[in-house]
This record gives sequence, C-alpha cells and structure tokens, in this order.
Amino acid sequence: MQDGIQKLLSPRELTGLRNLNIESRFTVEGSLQGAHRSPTHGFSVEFSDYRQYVTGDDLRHLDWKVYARNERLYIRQYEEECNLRVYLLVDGSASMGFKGDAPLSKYAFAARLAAALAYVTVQQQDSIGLSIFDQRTVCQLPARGGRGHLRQVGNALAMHSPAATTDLAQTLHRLADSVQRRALVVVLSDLFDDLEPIHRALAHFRRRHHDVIVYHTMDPAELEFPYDGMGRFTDMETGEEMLTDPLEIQASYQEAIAEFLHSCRKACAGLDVDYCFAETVESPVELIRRHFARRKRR
Amino acid sequence: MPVFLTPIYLLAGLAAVIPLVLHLVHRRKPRPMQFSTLRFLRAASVRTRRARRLNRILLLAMRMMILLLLAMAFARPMLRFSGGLPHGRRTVVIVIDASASMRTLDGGEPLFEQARDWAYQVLESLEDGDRVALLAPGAERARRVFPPVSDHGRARRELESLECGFFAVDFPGELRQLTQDMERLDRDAPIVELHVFSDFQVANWRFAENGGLLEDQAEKLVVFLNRVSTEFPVNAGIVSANYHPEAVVGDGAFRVNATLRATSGYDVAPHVGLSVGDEEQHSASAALDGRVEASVTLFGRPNPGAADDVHGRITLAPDAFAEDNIHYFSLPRIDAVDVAIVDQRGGTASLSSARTAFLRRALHPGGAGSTIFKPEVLGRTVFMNSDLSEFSAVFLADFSPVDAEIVQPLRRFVEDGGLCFVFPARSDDGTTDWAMLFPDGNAPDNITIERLTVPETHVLNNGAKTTALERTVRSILPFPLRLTVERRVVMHGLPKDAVGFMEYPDGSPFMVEIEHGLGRFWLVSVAPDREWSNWVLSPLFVVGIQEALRSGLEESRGAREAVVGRRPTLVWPAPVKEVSAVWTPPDAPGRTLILTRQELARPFELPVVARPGFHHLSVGERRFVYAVNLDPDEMKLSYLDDHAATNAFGVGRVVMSSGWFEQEARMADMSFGRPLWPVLLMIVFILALIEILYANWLSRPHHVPSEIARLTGGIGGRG
Repeated sequence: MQDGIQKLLSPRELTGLRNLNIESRFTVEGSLQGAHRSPTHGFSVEFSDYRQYVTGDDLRHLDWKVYARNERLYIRQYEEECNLRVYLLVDGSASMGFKGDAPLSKYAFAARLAAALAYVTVQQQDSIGLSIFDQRTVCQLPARGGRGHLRQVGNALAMHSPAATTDLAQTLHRLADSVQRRALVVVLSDLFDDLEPIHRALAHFRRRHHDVIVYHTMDPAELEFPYDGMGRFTDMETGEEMLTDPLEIQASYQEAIAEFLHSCRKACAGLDVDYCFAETVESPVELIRRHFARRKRR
Repeated sequence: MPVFLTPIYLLAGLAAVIPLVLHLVHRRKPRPMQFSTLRFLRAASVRTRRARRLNRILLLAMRMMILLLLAMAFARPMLRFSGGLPHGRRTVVIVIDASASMRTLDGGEPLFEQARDWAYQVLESLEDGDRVALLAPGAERARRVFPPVSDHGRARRELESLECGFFAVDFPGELRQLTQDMERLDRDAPIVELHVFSDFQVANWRFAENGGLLEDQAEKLVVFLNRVSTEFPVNAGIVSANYHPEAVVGDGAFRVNATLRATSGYDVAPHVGLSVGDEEQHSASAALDGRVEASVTLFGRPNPGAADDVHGRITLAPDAFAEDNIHYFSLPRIDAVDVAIVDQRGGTASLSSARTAFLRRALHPGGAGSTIFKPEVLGRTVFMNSDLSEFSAVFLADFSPVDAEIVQPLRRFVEDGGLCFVFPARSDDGTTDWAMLFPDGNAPDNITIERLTVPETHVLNNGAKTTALERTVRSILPFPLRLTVERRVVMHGLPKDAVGFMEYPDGSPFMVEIEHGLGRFWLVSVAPDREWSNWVLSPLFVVGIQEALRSGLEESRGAREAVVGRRPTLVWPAPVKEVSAVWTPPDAPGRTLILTRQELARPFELPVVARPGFHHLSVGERRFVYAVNLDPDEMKLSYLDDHAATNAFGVGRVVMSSGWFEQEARMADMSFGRPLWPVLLMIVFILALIEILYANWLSRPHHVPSEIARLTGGIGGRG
C-alpha cells in the first residue's frame, strides 16, 4: 500500500529526483557536505540524526554510546548542521481545486510538486516543513528531516481537499512570524488574491532573510480561457456567478491574465523572490530540474 | 415612396424577428461552469462590454435586415420618380408620320405599316376612360381624331383606314400647333402623352435641332419618340430634271439632263430609262457607284400624232424607297416661240446687219434646232404691217426714232403679254427717246448716252435686288463679269417697279425690266454690236438674252411641273378672273372646279397636289397635263439621331424607343417606377457578406499576449 510521498510520486519520478539538490541562495555558508558550521551554539541546538563517521569529522560529536553498542563510529548531527530548512507553504483553497482540461487540479499538481521538493530536501539530509492553508492554516508540520517526517508530509499533502476561500497574505504573514531561523520558503499557490498584501507578505519573509521561491501554479484553461457558447461561470471560492460568452471576452481575459502574471513576476523580482511559473500539465520532476538548473546558473 | 407590386410577401418580413428570438433564447440557456476565480472574467467583461454590445447589435441588425430586405425584394417594390406618369385617366395623342419617306421599305414592309402596328399596341394599352387623339401629318387629311375622345374604337378605325401620304411635313410646326390646340381645347388633362411615330427624317424636322420645341408645355407633356427607320438606308432617286428645249416644238426631239442622288451605301450604276407615254425611248447608265450624286442625259421625242403636251417618265429600278425612282415630266407642246428682230433699214440690209446676226446667234446658239426660239428679221415697214400677236418677243435691234407710229403697236403688244427688248439705235446722238414708250411716266427719269474716247472695262455687279434671273446667270457663268465699253446708255431714276439686271459700278443698270400690262419691256444699255462694247463677244450675251427671254416666256406660258404639297398654277392669258375647269388627279375621278384670281396678271391657282403622277386639267377645249413629283427633301433619307431628336424638345420627359416592347418597359418604369428588387438583393448580398466576414473576424484566433506565450512556450512552462 502506498504511503506518504509514494501516493503522490511514482517510483520513476522519485528516481529522477535522486540527483537533485535544493539550495538556498542566501545561506551558502555551512552547506558543504559534512562540514557544517552552525552559526549558533549551546543547548538550544537540537539533535537531529546520526551519520557515519568519516575522516575529518569533529570527534567531539562522536556518539560513544552508539560505538559502545555497535562498535561503529557515528557522528551526532545537530540541526545547525542541516542548516537548510525548507518550508513548503501550499495553498489549499478552493480555487486550487480547479481543473480544466489538464490531468490534475492545481492543488494536485502543487501537492506533487511539493512532494518532489520534500523528497529532494530530505534526500540531501535537510529539513522540510509543511503548511497547507486556505483562509487559515489547515495543516502545519515543523521542519524536520528523516523519512518518517517525509512520509508525514506526503500523507498530509495527499489527504487535503481544497476548499474554502483564501487569505493568502494573512497566512503568509503568520507563517513568516513562525519561521524563526533562516530558511528556504517555497510558496505553491495560484496567487489569486490581492497582490499588494501578498507582496507585503513576501517582503516580510525577505526581511527575515529567508530565501523565497514562488511556484505560481495555474491551469492552462486559466491562461487561455478556451470556452465557447454562453456559460454561467461560478467562482469556486465565493460561489458568485457570472453569465458571459467566453468568445466575446477571451482576448480581453487573456490580456487581464497576462497583466496579472506580469505583475506577479515583477513583484517577486522586486523582492528578489525566485518566481517560477508552473503549469499543471507539466511534469513536476522536469519542472524542478529546469528550475534548479536555472537557480544554479544565477 | 415605393409601391409594392406583390405586397403579400411583406409578411415574410416577420421572419426578421427570428434572429432576435434566437438571440434571446440562446442567452437564457447557458452552460454552468466552475471556474477558479471570476476576478479576471469580470475585468475582461468590463473592458469589452461596450464592444460586445455593439458587435451583438450589429450582427443582430444585419441578420434582421437581411431577412427584411429579402421579404421586401419578393414584394417587388417599385420606386417612382417625380418625372413619372401619373396614375388615373390617360390622355394620349398619337401622331403618326405619314410623309412620303415613311413608304420606305424595311425588310419588305413599309415603315408606315410598322408605325401603324406599333400605334395599335399603344391603343391596346388604353383602359376605359382613357382618351385618345390621332393625327397623321403627311396624309391628305392630317387630323383624324381630334380633340381626344374616349371612343377607342373610332380611333382604331381611323388608324386602320389611314394611308401614307406623299407630302413633306413640318413636324415642329405641326406639334406646336397641336399643343396649342390641346391647351385651348383640353385644359383639364393633367398630363398629355404625346406618342410620335416617325422616321425622324431631317427634312421634316428642320429647326427642331435648335431645341426648345414644346418647352412652354413642358409641365404637361410626356413625349414618346417612337422611331421607325431602316437601319441601313440604301436608296437612289431622281431629284430633278432639266429639259432642252423646255417646250417641245412640233415633233422635235428634246434632251433631258436628270440629276440622281444616292445614299452613301449605294454602290451600283443603275439604268435610267425615259418613256414618253408608254413607250420607252431611251436608257442610259448613271455613274452612281460610290458617288452621292450623278447626272444622266436622255433623249426623247413626242409620239407621232399625239396632240397633247408631251408627258412621260424618267425611271430608275425600284429600291427600298420606290417613290423617288420615277420622275414625271410634262413639256408643253408648241409650234415654236416666234421672235421678231426689228431692224429699221429692212430688206437685205437688215438681214446682213451685224446686230441682226448677233441676235440670231444668241437665239440659236447651237443652230436652228437647239432652242424653241424662231427669230424672224423684219424691217420697219414689215414690222409696222405685221400682226404682232404672232410673236412672243420683239427685239428692237436698231429702231430710231421711236415715234408714235411704232410706240402704239409696241405698247399694245407688251400689254397683251409680249416681251420687248429695246436696244440703243445707231442713230442715237446722245439721247434715246425711250420715254416715248412710257407716256404714263413709267420710264427712267434720266436717260443719257455716254461716249468714251478710250474704252473702259467695267465689272458688272448684281443689282440692288438680286433677282432670279441674276441667280440663274451666276449659276451658269463664272464671275466677275467684265465688259469693255465705248458707248453705253446711262439710266438713273428708275421707275418704282423696275427691276435692274446687273449694274455698272456707278449704279446704272445694265438692263432694266419694266412691267407693262401682261408683258414687259427690257431696256438694254449697250447695242448688240461691237461698236458699243464687247458684249456680243462674251458668254453673257447669249446667256443673258436666252435666260431673260426664257424667264419671261415661262411666266407667260406657265410651268407644267409641281411638287407634292404645293399648288400648281395655270397661266391664262384671257382677261377673265374666273374659269371653270375639270381637275383629275391620278387614280381618282375628276372634279369640276371654279378657278378664280384677284388680278388678271396673276395665274390661277390649282388645288394642292397630294400625290405624284399626272394630274389632268381641262379648261374649255384646252387640255393640260401637270407632272407632279415628290419634294426632293423627302428623298434624302437622312435621319435625326437619337440624341438630336431627344434634345429637340424642351420637355423634361422625353422617351426614345425603337419598338413596342422597349416603349412598354419604359412606360412601366414611368408608371410604376424603377424596380427596386435588384438594389435590395444587392444590399442583401453585401450585408450577408459583411455579416459572414464580421462574424468570422470576431471569432478569429486572437493574438495571445506575449506574457502568456512566453510562459506557455518557454522555460518554466509548457514545452
């Protein structure tokens, strides 16, 4: 029985994610493999995991108890060594439940994308946290590593059904306050809310020196509006209705959407937020692969 | 305001609401669809609201208009213009050209018959209550039904009985008179339809090309010009003939110079024959091939034993217009015209006198048989004892003095119709006592003789009033005419009725004609010898003498030829003002006439001749034959073109047609107006095309904004 991430990603896709690395553009120091310097010291540092001793590791962190038990040398890992904490903020509002002609709804796609990111993060021994929200936070998992945590993340993503309205800005502000340490914040949303509050919320994250990635998730039908014949359109979040002939407004709709996308991109660029447009017909693996390659080139 | 011929189809216009109903129905049944957010839909809807409404209205309007216009087209709307025919009772005046040229054959049928058949169609188009008049200018009785009547049967019968005439017609005059009479007799008719059936021969429509014909009736008239004419008139005819001599002397021969005229397409050299009575006596070929005019000379002689005037025909092979292929002639038959030349010396001296010789040569320029004049030279004594009534003219070649002994008989001779030529005498020593001839004062005031030591050359000019004789002489002789004169009679202060023939530069006449009684005196300024001038050696001598003599004799004898439409005359020397005569036209019974005249000097006028041919006149024991021919203008077959015919009228509504069907269609246009359905169908076609193109344009693939194209086509997006 599939569990966790396996509910969202196929083994093949997981295989395709193995060699990827997710990195923060701003917390470069301490990300060298096996040579993590934590900017923080003392008992507030939390034990996170063991790893095998390799020549050169600091012997102060050798776990003698494990050696006594198993006669194997293991180094205790602390959180400040996994200094990349990745927080996935997934929009689970009703609008994310929209599915045009694409195989997946926007939420399903975002969930797969989030699952892929979580897998990559855990693979590289970093921490992954998750928040699924609509007008409130529906699910929150702290940033941890390990397969068990990864499984939890996968299950949480798979179980959620998009509903309710969204208050993206408010939620982002709350999450910005809750993430204490510098982290990589990944927002997966359609951003269908007032852009100015979202902009301020993203700025909030940036003021706290977080690296932010926005995966702007949209369905092709939302881009092209490829309908014909009179239609009574119902807003999935508010329930409001509107009668219109799609052919009559298609061109104008596309212009409005184009302006919205441009505004989003511009807003993100102004905050040095990494903006990536994600269309639901794409493969999340490929998307991540291209995106990471682009991030590395910068 | 258009009129609909089949208004029932307007009901189909109700189908125009179908697009509206479909539009409304379609709006009420939209598909329900979930969408992530209406935010951008609303924004787009607001932006495009006005344009969408306009597009919807435009498309709807076009579709409704298409159906509506189609229904209207089926209803056959007709648009009347202000120049149309009014509805209601019609007043129709049919004017059918019955002039001679309408006898021209077109495809074997006379143009007149074509016109008549066409006129029947117009009659058939009349309805109860409509009135009709019928006129046939050119026929013997032109006004057949006038003023307009409601009895269409009567008009039809008159039309059936109509025969084409031989007259030339003054159409502009006829139409003006007609419309004036209409105005006077029928003021109530709001609009008069004038249907003119004619070949529009130029000769019959003279002055029409000046335009403005009937313009004072423009408001009331609608003119239909119905042209019947041959498309390619090919015709030759005999337009005139000159006879030498102009009267047959005894059984003497005569010569005819006939002038032929042909249309430009005539390309044969026809044979022309001369017949006297029923006997063809001579024929010749006329060189008409490729030429418009030619002449031919024929010879004839009277039939032996025939006592009447010599009459016959000059004939040409019949063609499309046969009436001008026969030229009738009638030559008076006389013994001769006796002319006395009086030389006072008499005897052999007179016979050998130069003056006598020159005069004899002038009277017989080609020998004895060449003219009708038979000169006899008389001395004074013989002359005094002769019966002057035997002579038609007297030449006083050398006679002096002019005393009472000679004056009395001369005056009587001239009073009775004779011609007297008076020349200066040899013995004139400075005066010529010609005043003796005119005791009643009808002589020039001042008559002197001018003697020059050195001869002078004078150029003769026309007299103050150019006479027919001067015109005749000018047509024969080349001008200017010069005379070298040593002596001449200078005359001034001519009598009021005197007519000069040519004049010297100082205004003195060369010859003067003075009427006296039924005849006339000719006073000549130079003698008929070389001592006075070189006149006798110039062509003017023979031509002047011959033509002066001929013109005087013609007036005293009377012409035997006439033109259709004119009145022939009978010169009757007897001093009576009334005679009874029997007048017999060709192919008609004779009728008795009482001929009257106001003055003895004037001839009797005969009835207007209506047809060509021989018309016979009997007055007592005398028999005369008049040869009547067509008016030469009728033979020209030259037609007004459509533009000229239409513009001749100052009327706004003039319709030219070449056949009944064409006229009927034009009348329908004017009655009902122009059909609008072609215009409507064209509009429907254009609207449908616009609707298709516009609808396609609206549903065309729009340009995808670059932002979207970039995202869906580049990194981070699809593909």
